[in-house]
Amino acid sequence: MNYRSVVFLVGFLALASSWCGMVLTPQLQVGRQEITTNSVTSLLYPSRRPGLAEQGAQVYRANGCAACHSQQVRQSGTVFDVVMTEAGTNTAVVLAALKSVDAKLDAGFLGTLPKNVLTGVSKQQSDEATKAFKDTGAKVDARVRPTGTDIERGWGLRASVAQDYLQDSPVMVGSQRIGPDLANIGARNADLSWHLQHLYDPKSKIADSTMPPYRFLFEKRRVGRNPSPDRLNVTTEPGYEIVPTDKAVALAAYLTSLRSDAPLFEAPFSAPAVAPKSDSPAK
Amino acid sequence: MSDSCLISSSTPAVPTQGEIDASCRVPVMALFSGAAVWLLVSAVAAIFASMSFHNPAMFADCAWMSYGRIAPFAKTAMIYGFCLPAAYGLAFWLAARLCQTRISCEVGSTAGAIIWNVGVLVGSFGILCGGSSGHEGFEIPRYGALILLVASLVLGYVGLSTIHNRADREMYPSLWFIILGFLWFAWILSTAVVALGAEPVRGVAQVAVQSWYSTNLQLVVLGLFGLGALFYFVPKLAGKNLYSKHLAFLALLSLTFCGSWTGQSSSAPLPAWIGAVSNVAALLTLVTALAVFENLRTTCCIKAPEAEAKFFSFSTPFFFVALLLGALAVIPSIDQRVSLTLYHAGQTEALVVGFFGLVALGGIYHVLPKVADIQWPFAGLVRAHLWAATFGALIVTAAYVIGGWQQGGQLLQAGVKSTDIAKSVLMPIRMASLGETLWALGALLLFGNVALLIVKRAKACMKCCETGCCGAEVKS
Repeated sequence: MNYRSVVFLVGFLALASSWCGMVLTPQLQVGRQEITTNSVTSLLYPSRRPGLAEQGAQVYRANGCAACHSQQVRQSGTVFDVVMTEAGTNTAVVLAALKSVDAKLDAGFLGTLPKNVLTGVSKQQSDEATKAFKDTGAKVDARVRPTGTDIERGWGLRASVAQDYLQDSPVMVGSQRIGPDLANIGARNADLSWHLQHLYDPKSKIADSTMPPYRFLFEKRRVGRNPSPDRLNVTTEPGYEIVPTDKAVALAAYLTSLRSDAPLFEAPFSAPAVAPKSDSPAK
Repeated sequence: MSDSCLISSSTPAVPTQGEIDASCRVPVMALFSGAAVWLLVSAVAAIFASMSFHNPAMFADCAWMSYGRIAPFAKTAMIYGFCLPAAYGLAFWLAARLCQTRISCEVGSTAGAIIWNVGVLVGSFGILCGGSSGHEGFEIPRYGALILLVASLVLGYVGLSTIHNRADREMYPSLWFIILGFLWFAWILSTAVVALGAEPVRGVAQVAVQSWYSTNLQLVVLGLFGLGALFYFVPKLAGKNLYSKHLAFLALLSLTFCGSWTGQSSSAPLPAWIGAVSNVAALLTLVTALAVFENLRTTCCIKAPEAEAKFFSFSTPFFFVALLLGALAVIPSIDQRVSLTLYHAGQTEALVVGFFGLVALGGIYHVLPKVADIQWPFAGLVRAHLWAATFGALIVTAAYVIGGWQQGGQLLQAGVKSTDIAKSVLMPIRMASLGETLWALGALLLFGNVALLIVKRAKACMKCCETGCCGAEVKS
């Protein structure tokens, strides 16, 4: 058998199909997304980063930070919390409804509200519970709660989706988690000076950090007549101070701008009554 | 362009093997010597990159040496500096030998090789200077990528026109792979240059394009060139015929149709169908692995006396392991555990360094003495390089895969602090440093051998010119 023509045909079809499938179709599906007004916050999402943060994104790109840090929160599923916010006036009917939802609940539950009637249940269970309280006069909310280890760690409130990256170019989602995920580092810690000091000497902020110091983003200079207002609070040679360069300030501004915490149609969540806390800002 | 560059429609007279090798001499030596230099540069850079995990503060004052710059520099130097020039060099020689014709445009191919090396130099040092594109797997800056695109078009044209001028119209399986390799690389590189560089697509469509480009380069393009070389060298060194043309065709079919759809992470913020389709394709690439393994197992050359035969023999299991690791990562529980870990770096290491790196080294050791018409100055070092390279690739692959597995397990436990996860990857990366050092030692041996061979060749040429015997064959 002479495969000559077949080889050309196979090559062309294989390459064309893969190009159409993995380049053209994603471009048609997500490459044409537009920035829209968020239905919950009524703000444009995602909003453009401030100019300094835009410059910081280029410092992030130039120094290959994505080699160790991802910017994508994973989510394994969604559960619902049924929360009672008001008990109403007809306590007897509300108590009966409470008992029908969970036999263990009693009048003591109605003492301090809001409180979870049910926690981490399915959509069906949540709907049934909400229905039970329909005509009782009590106010009950079904709250959507994304689940997954990234979310439990406090790395984000929901999964990262295509909409989150519409203002970024290049998009640096990363493929390694040698360091923590940074998709929401700005939401976890918006303290610019903390980030600057962490970039200069990571161990000064997180004792067991393995991140390399980025001292080349800082200047060590002799203290003039007056110390610089931007100097870092670190120990150095007497008569000298450590001052961040423009690049360091821009990078810190970029890091503090990183947050994807708007509820979206494709990644819904209800704002928790109390925001989840991580054990350290950079966890 | 000279007349010899034009595709001839008439059947040329069949030249001797010596004439064919002589026609390949300058371009192949240019490509291989560049590859030897970049191999050493990339290996040393990879060691420097891993130093950040031994002593994080080591390069704190030097932007060029920071991990985020030196690591992509090392990868770029390895793939664009070593792998692709070696692939083009081998493809030219194989095309000329199998088609029983001289290389179609010696000047054009030499110019292509020079332009290519300029592109790699400009692009990779651009990364060190902070010019990285930010696209993983395509970090090379736009200006470097454009130079590489021009070079790839020139080199691809020379390769295809050489094959077009073949004496025998029937094509040996290696030629199928090589032809598609030339076409494939030009297509994917031009797509990446446009969709990620000149007119970047919006949002996460960039992630889809960069993953598509990266996989097509590492798996399909290097796979096509690597398998094309294996299907020629293994039967030749074993003194047998290729076991099955049909299996070779099946490997080609599954590699191009399935391999080109893989590489999209199911955890990435892309539409879910992209990851799902990519996973199915990754599973189907096992057909490629089995077809190649069966074909080359039956036509085994491991007992051949030539040292390069063992390079080819050891490369095949790496190819199988790389595709198997990709297929295993399709299983949802494993995928969830290993995504965003070192596991995939281990898979890439097995594919690029373990498989293609060994094929390219074996090919260089086999071809270069023939085209230069000079024996290796230190032939004994070839065997030393074989063991250093094989164990180097094996250690790095194993360290990354095992380390990635542990890292993934910790990432799945919300109670484990990120600093503890970061500490847990230190040991595998430090172990990988050992493998990288072995690989670098091997690269040094190749560099020394190639440098001396070129010096000997140059001296022989000068001697010939002095004595007026330029046309005669030079014997070492």
